[in-house]
Amino acid sequence: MIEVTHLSKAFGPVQAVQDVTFTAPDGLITGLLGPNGAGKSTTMRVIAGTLEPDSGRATIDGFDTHSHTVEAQSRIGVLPDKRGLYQRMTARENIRYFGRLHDLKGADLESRIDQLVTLLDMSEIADRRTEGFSTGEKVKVAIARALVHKPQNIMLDEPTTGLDVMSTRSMRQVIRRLRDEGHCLLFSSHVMQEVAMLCENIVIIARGRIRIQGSAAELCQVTGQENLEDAFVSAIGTTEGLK
Amino acid sequence: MLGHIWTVVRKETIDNLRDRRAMFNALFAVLFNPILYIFLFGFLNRSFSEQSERPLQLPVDGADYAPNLVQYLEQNNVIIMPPPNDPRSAVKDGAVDMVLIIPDDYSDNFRAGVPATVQLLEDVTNQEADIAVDRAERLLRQYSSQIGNLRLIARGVSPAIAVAVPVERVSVSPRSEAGASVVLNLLPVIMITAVFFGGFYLAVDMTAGERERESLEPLLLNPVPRWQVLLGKYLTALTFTVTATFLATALFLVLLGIRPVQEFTALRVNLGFDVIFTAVLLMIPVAIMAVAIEMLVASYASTVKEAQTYTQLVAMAGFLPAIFLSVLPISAQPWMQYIPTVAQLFLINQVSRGEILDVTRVALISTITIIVGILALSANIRLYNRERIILGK
Repeated sequence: MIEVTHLSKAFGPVQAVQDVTFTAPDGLITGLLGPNGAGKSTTMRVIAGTLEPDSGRATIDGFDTHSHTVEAQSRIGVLPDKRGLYQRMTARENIRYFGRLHDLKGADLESRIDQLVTLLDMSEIADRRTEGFSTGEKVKVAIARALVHKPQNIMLDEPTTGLDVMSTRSMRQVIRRLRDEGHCLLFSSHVMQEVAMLCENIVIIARGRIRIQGSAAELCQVTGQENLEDAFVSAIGTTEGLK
Repeated sequence: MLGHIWTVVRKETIDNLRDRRAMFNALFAVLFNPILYIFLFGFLNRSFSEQSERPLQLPVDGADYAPNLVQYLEQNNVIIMPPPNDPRSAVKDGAVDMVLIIPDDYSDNFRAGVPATVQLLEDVTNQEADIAVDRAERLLRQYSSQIGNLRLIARGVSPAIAVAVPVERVSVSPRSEAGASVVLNLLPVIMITAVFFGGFYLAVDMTAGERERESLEPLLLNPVPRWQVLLGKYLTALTFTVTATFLATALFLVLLGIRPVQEFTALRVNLGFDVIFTAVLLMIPVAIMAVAIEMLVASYASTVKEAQTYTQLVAMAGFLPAIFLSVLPISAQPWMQYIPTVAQLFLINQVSRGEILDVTRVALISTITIIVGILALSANIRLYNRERIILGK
């Protein structure tokens, strides 16, 4: 379970995130929806333990990501905004490196890598160096890297950006399957339809603030709109930056 | 803990070894130096020794008064030239190196057995002429003493009686050749260059480079304390640096020891692997310091370009003292033995000359150097624990 409480973060004069509070429970897909520059990535980077909050906090299964970074990080798998693979290493070697940093080794690690290669349908690229990989192939490797230690909590920053239709479909299947296994899933997107299709729990963020959160039905009810799209628009005030 | 550090070392080593071009550049920069120095120095030394074997051109005024002397000179590789019109100004202007003047009373004096003085006009400010003038003077003295000895024998006296106190010069330094001594001055320069440039590329690539390629943030998502990640990277760069230093040192000393090189350079230097290992061991603390400072500077920079510029300045600052001290005739001052790099310079000079090292001095300077390295490394760890390392500004 991921909990964010009164989180604020500024970069110089720019207030990126302000008093953000939400919860992503286990066994549900929580979608963080907002236009570009709304504060999604900043929120996720605080949850991932790479940025320090100015105030408030983020916890993973109760561990503060700032004061107990290592414990929190071992309980979460993150697909960050920056995929950054090692180009002179094969896909498998990239995944193995992160596995080892999670204290996995030997046959356990190798069979886990094989599982992920099958799950993400990447057997053709697994032993190729990642230099020259397409965006979709890179995302697959980066997701495998995030899942190698079977984390209870999984956070994906815009996982479908740059993917073709087939890859997007299989990505959704993977996300649903992880939800069915009882994991806590938090993913960000600026695509309304995708969030509407996948998420049981929706958090709408704009200009660094949480506008509204709940299930699709709840959002419609609260905003008094017929459908989810109108609910989004009424919550954010504009469709700018969304699609 | 050790497991994570080792994981980082292993990954960085494989990753960087696969970067063929960078590896080649790094090794080239380090290994080119010894070869270049040997070539340049050998070339100089050869032209120096060739100059003393070439025929000596000697303008002689009044050659007709001393046919025997002229014949003696000709037999000793001297080409007798006609004198210039105004010998004094010709020498002064540098038109000729020197002029030998044989006065018209030479033959009378010679026959009478009294000193028959000749004059050698030279310009002492003309350093290029030094070798030639010395050679001419030496030949004239030889002729003089040869004739003197013949005269003593003709009078039934042993020439030995005229040599009251012969002086013999004996060199006591273990490796005595003058040329060898100069070429050994280059050893610390080669080693310091290798230490500051051997791991330079890696230090930049693993810090500023990793951030610029956007893989630093994913790496720091792993549940590993950041000091362990940094230490793994540091140990990789340090290993490369020490290896490069060893290769450069061994290449230089082994090359100097093989026959064709000795024939080319006209130098005889034979240093064993004991010297190579001792010199490299003395240099390891400097490598510990150099790599730590370079990595700190490269981590602080916001781009790879910036990091390269700053790190290059650090490397320059590190090895410039070595160049100055090996070229300028400065003797070791007491305070210098506390200055990292400078102190090691003198120690390596001692080692290459076969002198015994003062163990306390070595221990002291090694400790000082390592402490500077540890300070730089811990500053870098503090930097890695701040979010600035991810944002890059």
